Amino acid sequence: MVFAHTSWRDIQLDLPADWELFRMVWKQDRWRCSFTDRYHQRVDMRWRKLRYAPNLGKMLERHQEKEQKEKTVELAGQPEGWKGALRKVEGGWVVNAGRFFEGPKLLVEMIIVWPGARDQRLENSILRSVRPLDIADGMRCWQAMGMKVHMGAEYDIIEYKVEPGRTEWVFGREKKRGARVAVERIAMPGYWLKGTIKDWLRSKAEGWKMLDEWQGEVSGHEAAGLKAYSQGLLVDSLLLKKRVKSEVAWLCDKEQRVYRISCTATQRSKKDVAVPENIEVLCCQRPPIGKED
Amino acid sequence: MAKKINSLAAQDILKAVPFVNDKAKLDVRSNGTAVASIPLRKPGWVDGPLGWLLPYSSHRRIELDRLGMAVIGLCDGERQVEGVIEEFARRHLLSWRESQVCVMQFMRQVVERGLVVIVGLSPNDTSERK
Repeated sequence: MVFAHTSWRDIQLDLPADWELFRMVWKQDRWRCSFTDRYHQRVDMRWRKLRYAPNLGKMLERHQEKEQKEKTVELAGQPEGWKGALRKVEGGWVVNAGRFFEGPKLLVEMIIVWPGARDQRLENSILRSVRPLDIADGMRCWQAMGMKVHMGAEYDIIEYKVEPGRTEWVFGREKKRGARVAVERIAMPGYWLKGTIKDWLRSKAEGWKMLDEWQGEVSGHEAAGLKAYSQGLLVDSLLLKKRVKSEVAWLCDKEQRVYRISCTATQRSKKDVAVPENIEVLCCQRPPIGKED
Repeated sequence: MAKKINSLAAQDILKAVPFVNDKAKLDVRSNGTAVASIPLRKPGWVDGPLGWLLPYSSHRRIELDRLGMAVIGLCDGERQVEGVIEEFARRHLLSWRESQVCVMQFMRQVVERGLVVIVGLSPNDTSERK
């Protein structure tokens, strides 16, 4: 079985390659990622930071009471640290499991759905793969939906968009300080990319005044970049501020994807865009296939 | 009174077969795009005095881009929706989910406009498709 690695803010895990991330939700310190295969939602993972270690036994008891005790049994044979319950539902099984990671003080709750027969080996391998993300070097890895981004840990995701053939993640720092960084990955360039990457990037900067343009290489691919500014909102003009952006885009032939990194900031000086230095977007990953091998 | 809605599961939709409306006429251009003309049912008022005053089009026209034409080309009356998504993913180097989002969004639009009909088993029917 082919596994795909997902890394999202505090957590990483490995799931079968055809279980794809389809929803990310977050509110304050509570995070949630849901994965689906072709037919069913398979995994729902929630996590949050806690100040103290929770009583997992008590949590499990409460869950069993809520779900009617007679319909659930305590999970057995799971990897160390995990506690949970198994519930028979119409047409399959549902596993609820939780674990508290002492170091980062992270409580992770997993719901794994098994339509038909339950594969305990795979279930255990999934649970074993769930681990906190190491950000000791000040970098955080964001990997999902075919994208892999290394970003300074001071940056957090503030928005994501998934449209046909297009994925975009927007990162920003706390209290909107500094630049807002958008990383975009666009499929099917053979269909929509009419000219060069440079032409396309310029077309995206319509209405902006160009400060600088360059052509070079990113990860061995021909790349184009620009720096531009615009007047921005009226309130910005009154504060003598301008919207400044710095962008770079390249076409990865191996993946057949166009990548674009766009840093936008509102600032007094139009010359120096506060582009974060600690950002790395990795491409040239194995091209996806319609059906798993 | 509460209504019971027969919601289709994802599996039912994926196993259904899309058919292109055989009354639709496709005018394919040299650049791969096309215009589909779908005949509309003539409403009764068209033959009356209202029909002399109000303009009435006998056909609905849909502009199809190259990707749309690629999906229409895959609807051969045999391939299931799942097969269309798979083939679209293979041709455009997409993941299953990326392809599904593209194809399903397009399918929804062309089904609403009557260019494509999706035929499947009823959710209650457990018999196998022959």
